[in-house]
Amino acid sequence: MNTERVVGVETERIEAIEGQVKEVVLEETVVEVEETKEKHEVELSVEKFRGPDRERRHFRMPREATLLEVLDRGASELGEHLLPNPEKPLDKLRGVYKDHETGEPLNLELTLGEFLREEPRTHHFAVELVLAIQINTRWRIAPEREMTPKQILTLADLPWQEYSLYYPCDSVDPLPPDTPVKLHRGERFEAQRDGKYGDEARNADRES
Amino acid sequence: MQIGKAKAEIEQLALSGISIELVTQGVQPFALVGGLEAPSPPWDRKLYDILIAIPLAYDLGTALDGFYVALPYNFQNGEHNRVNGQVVSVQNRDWKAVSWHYPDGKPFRFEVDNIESHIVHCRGFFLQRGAVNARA
Repeated sequence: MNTERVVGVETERIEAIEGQVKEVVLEETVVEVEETKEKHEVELSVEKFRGPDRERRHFRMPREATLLEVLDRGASELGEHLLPNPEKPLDKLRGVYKDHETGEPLNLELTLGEFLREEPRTHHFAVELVLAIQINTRWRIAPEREMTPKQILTLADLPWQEYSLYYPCDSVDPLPPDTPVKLHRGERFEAQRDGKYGDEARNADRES
Repeated sequence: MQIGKAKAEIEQLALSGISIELVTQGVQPFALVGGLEAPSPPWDRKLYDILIAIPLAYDLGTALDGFYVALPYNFQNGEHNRVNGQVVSVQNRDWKAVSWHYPDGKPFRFEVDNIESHIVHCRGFFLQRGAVNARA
């Protein structure tokens, strides 16, 4: 049977108010769950990076878990799926520190135990859900919310002079090459090597 | 036979969830791609299997071109005028070559193109996207 004990709570007596002592919690409470003598779980919290409401979810994970597993579990707690897959996500995990400052993306190969020994310490994480889009089988992080098909092709290392971009994927006609497309996470485009954009550009040159 | 790159590409594509395997007929290797989506009608089914011939010197830069469609098939209650090439027997099925090529002046380029992009090129045939030299 599991037993819980609260550890790591630091309190400070600061002033007496009407004969009572007010206690201020300085550090976040860390709850360790002892399943066996050796195995420990750590209580963590997670929120979406730059999410609109900063809604936190709490869960527990063993210290042996990697930060990749924390990212996957955190995303799941937030009702999201990692893209393109949980094994090699483009999404990122960041620590959330004092005054709600978020750090740089974390090395997902670290174990939770290793990470928790690093300074500054935190048990609070932010999941950064990137604007991942798919072009054929290539996944890329879109740098802008709106991009033209030519820019999307270039992002996928496909020359727009030779490829054209189709959305939805079974569309018969390619997207207009220079009209920005509003991008959504997980959206899939198809790039076909039919040279239509290149021909349009050449024809425009001839006409002008 | 120099198709190590093709084998690696096929392995990667299979890992990414595409139904694809390397098969051979005699000395000729093919990529057998399953479940290519097609609009039905005019095609008689929603998913088609295709066969892409892998040149024996693929690793040296020999281009992919065209593909084969499994027989029998039906397009608008008949045959498609571009399914007009030789018939080969592979994996106990007959396949007919489709005349579906890259646009003039824009051939398959080894540095940019690969089996993945060629599959999308083949899919364009079923979607009747046409290419700049193939609007039939």
